This record gives sequence, C-alpha cells and structure tokens, in this order.
Amino acid sequence: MAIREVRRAGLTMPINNPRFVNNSWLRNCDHITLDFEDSVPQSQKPYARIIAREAVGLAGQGGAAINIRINQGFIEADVTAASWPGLSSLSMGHTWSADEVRLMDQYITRIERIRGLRPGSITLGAACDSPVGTVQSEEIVQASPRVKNFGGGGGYDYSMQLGVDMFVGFDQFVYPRGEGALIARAFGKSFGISVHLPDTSGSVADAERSYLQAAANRKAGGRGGGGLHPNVVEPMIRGLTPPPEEVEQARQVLAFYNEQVEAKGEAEGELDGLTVDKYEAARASELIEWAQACAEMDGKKERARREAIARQEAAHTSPGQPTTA
Amino acid sequence: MKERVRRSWLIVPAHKTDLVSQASATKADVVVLDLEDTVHDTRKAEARQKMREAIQLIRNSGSEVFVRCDPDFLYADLESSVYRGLTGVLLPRITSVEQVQDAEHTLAEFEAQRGVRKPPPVGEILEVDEARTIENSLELHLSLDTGRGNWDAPKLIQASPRVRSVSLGRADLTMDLRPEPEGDLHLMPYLMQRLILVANATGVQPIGAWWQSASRGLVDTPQNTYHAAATGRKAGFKGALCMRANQVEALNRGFTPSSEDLSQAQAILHAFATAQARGLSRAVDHRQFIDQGIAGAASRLLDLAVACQATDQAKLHPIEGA
Amino acid sequence: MNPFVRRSHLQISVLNQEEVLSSWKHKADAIVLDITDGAGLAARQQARELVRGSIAPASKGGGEVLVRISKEALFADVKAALWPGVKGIICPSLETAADVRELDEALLEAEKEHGIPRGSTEVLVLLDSGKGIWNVREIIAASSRLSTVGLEESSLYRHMEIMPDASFDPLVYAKGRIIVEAVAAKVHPIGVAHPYGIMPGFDNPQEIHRLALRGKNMGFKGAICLHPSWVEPCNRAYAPAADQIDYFKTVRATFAEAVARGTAATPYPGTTQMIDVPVDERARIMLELWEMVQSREADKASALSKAAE
Repeated sequence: MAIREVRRAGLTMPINNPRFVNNSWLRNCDHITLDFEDSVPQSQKPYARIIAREAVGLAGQGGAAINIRINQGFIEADVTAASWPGLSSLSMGHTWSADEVRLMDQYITRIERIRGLRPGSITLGAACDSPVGTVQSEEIVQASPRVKNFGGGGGYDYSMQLGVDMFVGFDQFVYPRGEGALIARAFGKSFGISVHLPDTSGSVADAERSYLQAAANRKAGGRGGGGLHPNVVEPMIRGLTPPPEEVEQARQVLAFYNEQVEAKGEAEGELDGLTVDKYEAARASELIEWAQACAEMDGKKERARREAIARQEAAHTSPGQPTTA
Repeated sequence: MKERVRRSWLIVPAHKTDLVSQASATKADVVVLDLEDTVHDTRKAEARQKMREAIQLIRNSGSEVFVRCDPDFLYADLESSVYRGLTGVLLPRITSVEQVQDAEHTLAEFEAQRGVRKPPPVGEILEVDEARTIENSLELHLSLDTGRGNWDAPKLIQASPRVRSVSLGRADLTMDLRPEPEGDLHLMPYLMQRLILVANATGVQPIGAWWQSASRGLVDTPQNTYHAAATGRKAGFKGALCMRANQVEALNRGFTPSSEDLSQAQAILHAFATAQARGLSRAVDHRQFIDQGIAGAASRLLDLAVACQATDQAKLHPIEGA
Repeated sequence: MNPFVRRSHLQISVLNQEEVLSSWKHKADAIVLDITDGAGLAARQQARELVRGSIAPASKGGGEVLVRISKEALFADVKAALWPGVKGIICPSLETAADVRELDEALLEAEKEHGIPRGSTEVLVLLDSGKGIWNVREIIAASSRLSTVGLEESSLYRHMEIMPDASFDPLVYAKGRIIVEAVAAKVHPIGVAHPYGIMPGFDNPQEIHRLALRGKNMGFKGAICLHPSWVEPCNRAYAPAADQIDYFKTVRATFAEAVARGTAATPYPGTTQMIDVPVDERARIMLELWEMVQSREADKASALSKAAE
C-alpha cells in the first residue's frame, strides 16, 4: 500500500479571523483549512479573497499543508483568489455536482498556468455531506483527476439533510459512510476512516475523546483526521501515530515472513499464534512506512517552526507568542 | 433449479497432499482446491499436476469440488482442473466483466473438449447422454474481495449465467479492513449486507459468515466460526468459506436450522394455518405478528432442514466416480 | 414532491367494518384501507366492494385515506380502490420502473373513469425483494406520483430466506439505501427500527415510541401502524420534539442579529456553544417542519370537532 500524505490532525478557521490565522502555524497541525465558506459572512467574502495569498503564507509557516474551502456559488473568483504557491488543495464544503467539480478543475488548470504553479499540484478534496451527495458520489469522484480524497457520509450537515438528531447512541450512518468508503476504494481515492464511537456530548474540544477516536480509527486502518479545536490537535496526532511497540512487532512479523515463510516456498506460517502470510506482511510494512512518514512530518514541522521563529526574531527581536486559546 | 446445500467451503492448498487428504475426511459440503493464495509461486506447477487426482479423491469422499484459480494464470489453472468430478471454479480478485467472460470462455472450451459436465448433487448418478444445459455446466463463484469488484457486483454477477454464488473471499485482507471498537471489521457489516442484497437481487447464493476481528481471513477457532456462521445465517448467508479443517463442523452446524428454529417455524405455520381457516391472512400469536411473508420464510426453513439432512445422508454413501 | 407531513399510516382491514367505522378516532395522519387482508378470491372481491363506502367514515378525523392493493391484481384493485377522497395507493412488491409505470397507467385509467384530477393520486411503494431495493432509484424516478418508499419486511425475509430475530437486524443496508435514495429524491422513506419492522409489539407505548424515534433518527419520516396503539407514539416520534422549539427560535433570532453585525458565528445566549450557518440552517428546517406538523394537527382537530357535533 502506498503511503498517503501525513494529515493526522488539522484545524479549520475563517480566513478573515486574524487571531486564528496568525497563530495557526503554532498549533502543530499537519494540515490547516482556511475557510472562505460558511464561517465567513457574505459581506466579508471579497475581503477574504484579498487576504488569501498572505494567509496561505502565514498558516504554512509551521510546515502544515494548506487547504482552502471555497464557496459553491463563487467558484471562479474563489479558485483565482486562493491558488497561490504554498496551497496544497481546495475543498468543497457542501454537495457539489460533477459539473461543478469539472468547472473547478478548469479554473485551477488555468490559474496554475498563469501563476506558474506546477500543473496538477493543487488537488481537490470532495466529501458528500447529504443524501444527494451520496447519490452523486460515483460521478463526482470521476469528474476530475485532481480529486484525491473522498469522504463524508456523516456528521452535522448530513444529519441535518437527513432530518436526524446526532449523538443518539447508535451508528446512523452505516449506509452513507459505507457507500463513500466503497466508492473511494473502487476508484482509487484516499478516504478518511471514522469508526463509530458512542458520543453523547458532541463537544469538539474534548481531548480525551479525540485521542480515543483517533486511536480507534488507526486500529481500524485510519490514517487521517480533521479537528475543530486546538485542544484536540495533539491527542489526534498521538492517536494516529503508531506507538513504538507496534512498530517493533511489525518488524518482527515482516522478518518472520521474509525468512521463515516466503524464503521457504510457503504461503503462510505462524508466529506466536498469528497467521503470517503476504497480507499480514503487507500490513506490517505499511505500518513501518507510516511510522516513518509520521516521524518525517514531525521533523519537518519542527524545523519549519524553528526557522519561522528565528526569522521573526531577526525581524522584530520579539518572538511570536504561542497562545493557549 | 433447487439450490444445493453448501454450508461449508473448505479451502486447501492443492499441492499439500496431507491437507487434501485431511479435507476428504471433513464432511465439508464443498472442498475448494486452491491454486492461488495458499500456493507459493514456486509450487504452482506441482499443485496443478496433483489437481486431477485430488478432484477424484474429494469427490469420492462425498464433497463437491471447486478449484480456486489465480486470475493471472487462469488458462494454466483451468487446463489442469477441468476434469470429471469438478463442480465449479472460484475466481478471486474479479473487477471487470471481461475477466468473468474470459473465464467463462476458457472454461467452456475445456468442458467441451473433455466432455466434462457438472456432476449432480452428491449421491445422485450422472446421466451420460444428458444434453448440455446451463444446469449441468460448471459453475463460477466470484469472490468479490476488492473495492471495485464490490462496487460493480451486480454487473459482474450478471456477466455470465454460470455465476451461481458470490462471496467477499478474503476482502478483509485484500482491502485491509481492520477491527472496530465494537468487534466488527471496518466496513464489513456494510459490505456483507450489501453483497447479500445484491445476491438476492441477481438470484445467486450469498456465501459468507459474520466474521469478526479475530477471524483474520477465514481462520478462526471452531467456536468463533460457529458464531460467525449462525449470525451469518441470520443475515442471509447460505454457507461460508473457511481455511481450517476444524472449522467445517462449525459451519455445517451454524448453517443448519437448529431444533429451536424448527419448532419456532412449525409454530408460525400452525398459527398461520389457523388464521387462514378463519378467513384471515394475518395472525397475532404470542404477540408475534404472522403474515404470509413470515409463514413463507418459516416454510422455507423447514425445506432447508430437509435438504441439509439429505445432504448429510448422501455423504455417507457417495457414489464412486460420479 | 412538495414537503408534507405523514407520520402515522394506520392500516385497517377494510373487511373489518367495525374497525373502519372507528378508525378516524385515533388521530392518525393517514388511514390505510387494506383490501389485501383476506384469504381467497371471494374475500378480495368483498373487500374491493367495501372501499367506496369506507372512505367517508375513515376520513372523518381529518386523516388522509390511502388504499393498500397488491401487485398481482393491479388493474382490478386500482379500479375498485380509486374513488374521490382517496389520496393515494399503497402497493408492495414493485421491482422495476416498468412496474411503477404499469401502476401509473392503471391509475390514469381509474382517475379518468371516476372523475379524479389526472395525476393527483399518490403512489406509496413497499419494497420486498433485493431487486426492488437495488432498483429503488429508478422506481422513485419512474413517476411523479411517487411520494413514499418503505419496506415490507416480512416478505423480504421470505425472499432472503431468513427468519426474524430480535437480536440481529439483517436490513441495515436495505433501510439505509431506501432512506438515502428517498431523501435525495425528496420523497418520504417510512419505517421503524428493528425489531418492530418484523416483530411488532402492540401493547407497550414506550417501546413503540423508542423504536419509532430510533427510526426517525435513521431518517424515516413516518411508519405504517398495524395497530391503533402505534399512532400516538409515531405522531410524537416523527415530529420535532416540542421542547426543542424555543431553542430553535432563539438560534434563529440570535444568528440574524449576529449577521446584521457582520459575523457568521456567535455564541448561543448564556453558553459557549457557537451558532453558525449550519446551526441556523438546521433551526430553520426544524421550525418549518414544526409549522407543518402544527398545521396538520390543526386540520385534524377541526375535522374531529366537526365529527363530534
């Protein structure tokens, strides 16, 4: 399995809120979404577009991948305003049609050319947040080769469109999440895994719960996560990073497979009660690669942060104050 | 055609003579002689050489015989397997209609060349001069173990009338589906119920069990296997694949109606008949709501019990060389 | 379909005239006159003949009148069932768009014959086979009459050759599929949570309410009620909870003020919980539904008081 980008935890914030954006790079996020959409009032949208280039630079200082969520009604203006060096991806908040995705692809292609960005470097994240989205998913994931991620099938918007209350103690989204995950797999897109854990509080700032959710997601095969509150970034990263003992176990499985199974012309063998075959070996090497990728991402963020702080000190002789909000 | 009872499908590597001989003593409804995953590339030729003899051995022991082919070596695998005694071919990793049609085509060629027909149910005699029909042609079983295969399942199943059963095969491993907190494998409940519905819509048998996180690719203890089978039957599966001889009995038991099931079904039918005698089409019995649908389900359960018994009986006296 | 409210569909055998005559008293949003609940041809013929006279008594309480027919005798059933005052036809066992079009034709003919506005009769389908559930999208799209999709669980169990078991729901996928497809197409999915779809109980209002509410939270908009004891709990479960209404009103007012001030996120008064566009949108949807429920209740109340005079 090819290793995906490391996107364990991220924050979403209104791009026009300077307090959030200025401090975003100090939060240790793997990715940051700057929002043009629901969290920005209509009257502020033109201003949001003007400051986008600077915001992308600011938020990216800590090594996080930067995504901008654009408005469905202003595709051309938003794509043009958002696509600057340092931007990794654009995402679509609500239910888009395949035609809208194709339109977006065209605008991105044009702006990549005009601004000298590497063709195809800006990817798209699509999610289905309504039953209509589920019904259209197959067409949407095929609408543009830029669509790399596909997800959704639950959450606040989906609940609203379905007319259900959330946090009612059972898994209400087996079907839409299953459809999304299967379509993503069928068409080779990466996808998020969010297993059902009972949640009665619905709090977005609960660090302990976020850790448990992230760890459960990882055990089910999940690698990525979002996040809405700075409190949950660290627990999510911790939950999605393999602990050293699991990495060590994976090394043993892999060695056993290579030396005791494959080399002996066998298809499977047994190690401490575990049946080890090519699938188990593939899982082990994926885990080792994932652990490496996580470590590299942590190193990259650490260096980026240090350099940014050094630059600031050189410029002002006063460091950016990490806030605790 | 009345569907055959196929509760247990035991997969054994075709080159391992000891395991094949062990399989012949398990009373599995189906033994799947494997040329794919459980056979290392360096042993494939050996496995193919042993195939013809293994088919005879298993068939004579009273089990139906399928062969699991490697889609990458389909011709060679079928060339070595389409002999008298073989009932069908299990195809893993199917993702396109062309793959199914290719398999059908190659299978039909060997069948015609060698005059091979699908054998009748165990215990019955094959009429030598029987005309070739779809009913006596070798079957295909699709193991839809990938994302694409599952998404396109209806199309793939309908690609050939020879497709008579489907399973998820080793989807948990092929798709890397790992445990969720409540014990199910990620995505599997969705995939299982989807496949069962698709099978029902397309008129083929859904094969599988409600495997949970401990199962790891159809390998589990007899006790867990029994639970997976019993729950699988509630979900609509008719039998399941497994990879260990000691799972066969658990699968046979789990997919056979229990005596409690039978008395429940008889009570339902009795209540329904009483209601009908009074001119009603629905009945409330012990606070249970009974209509034609539930009565129909109950009567099919009784039929299944009879068929299971007949299958078990026939295995005691398999007809040699059938 | 335009938005509508239909939480409870009380099903009554038209052969049981005693129940037909009292059916209006239970405050169901709809009364289903079932002409298929009899064994044999003579019973079916008798049931068909009873439909016309049953419409007036069934609708006395302001409930909409629906007639349940079967696919096997489509044309004869529709012809006997469709009279002025019948809002829609419930038909199980449809499997394809062609099946729906056939029903559509039968309805057009009967509408013409009985002086009913062309195309005004709704179709409610109950799917009972893998094929029908797999084809749910084309079934919904096949006719603009189609208003409601549900499952006929017992006959689906027969098709799938499985037995009812309270501890295991084999229809999670099937229910999810019809719910998502129906909501996407703006028609109603109806049903309750397992096991009451296949093993209904009739004497425990709390349990009926619990499983109806769970059904609502799966996405169902109402349920077929096989017994009058289901009507009240279903009417309650498939509507917004009365104690949430003030909250939604406050959300809307607070958010409107915030937008006027130039911000798209503001805390709910006295809490740290943020109101943003989706929270406001949800409040709007819930209040609209609440208004529709209130107006439906008012219609029924006025019909009831008229009937009592």
